[in-house]
Amino acid sequence: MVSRAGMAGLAVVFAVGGWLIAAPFALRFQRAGAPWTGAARMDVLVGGVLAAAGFVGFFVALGGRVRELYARAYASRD
Amino acid sequence: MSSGPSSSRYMAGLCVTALGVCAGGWLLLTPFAFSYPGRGRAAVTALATGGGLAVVCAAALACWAVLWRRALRADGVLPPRQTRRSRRSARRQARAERLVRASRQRELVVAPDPAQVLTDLRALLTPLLADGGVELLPTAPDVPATETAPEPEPVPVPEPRSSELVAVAESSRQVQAPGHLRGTRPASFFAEPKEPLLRGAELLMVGTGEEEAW
Repeated sequence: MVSRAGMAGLAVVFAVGGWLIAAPFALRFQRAGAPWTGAARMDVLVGGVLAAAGFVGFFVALGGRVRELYARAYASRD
Repeated sequence: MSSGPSSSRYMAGLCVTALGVCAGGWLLLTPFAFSYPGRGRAAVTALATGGGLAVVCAAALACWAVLWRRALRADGVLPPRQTRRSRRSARRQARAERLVRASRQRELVVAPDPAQVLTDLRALLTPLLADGGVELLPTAPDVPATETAPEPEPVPVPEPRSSELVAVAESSRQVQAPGHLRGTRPASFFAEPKEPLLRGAELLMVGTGEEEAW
């Protein structure tokens, strides 16, 4: 349960990053072709960092979990 | 179970969620720091997203911390968690050990010297034995056997039966009570009862007329 909550937190970080990248265009406070506003630039920057960190962190955590499961399976077989 | 490289999993979770908390805080501050237009879409988006992100990431951070602590405890790196009950039990155990140690020391201090005990005992018993005409050491009779008076007929003393002797000996024998550090009990206390223990209860029930009720 706690492990799933932690993984869900990482997934939320990735999703929020994606949302922050898309928000200026989705909410139309950054028009296409117009010069970038400070708010749009900030949202895209923070969103990009969060999305990248969430992506990497999620798969690192998932890989560690799978490694743990393999180790446990080998230990129980031996 | 989780030793070695798999700790990177917890580290990654902690780092990313901590970054999320920081980013959430930053998003909460940006409308004020960069003076976004008040109530504009950009400000509302930053505030709402930042607040939600900070809360969710703080919860996830706590989850990863709990997970890592559990793993460390399972690997024996951290000491086992002490509940209130186990703390209380440890305190009682320590108190009992202290009492046992103190009583042992007191016994050692008070324990008399066996040689002194024997000397005192001899001093007590010697006059009693002398008054009763019994000598501690048997001595050879000075009077020749021919001059001794004829011995009177021995009065027959009824000898107790062997089973009675065994019972008396058993009841007077003191044994150590199992599970007790100090104190003794008569051996008959631990012996198998001759009659079932429920016999008294049965008689009681029959006597009071409650057998059917039971």
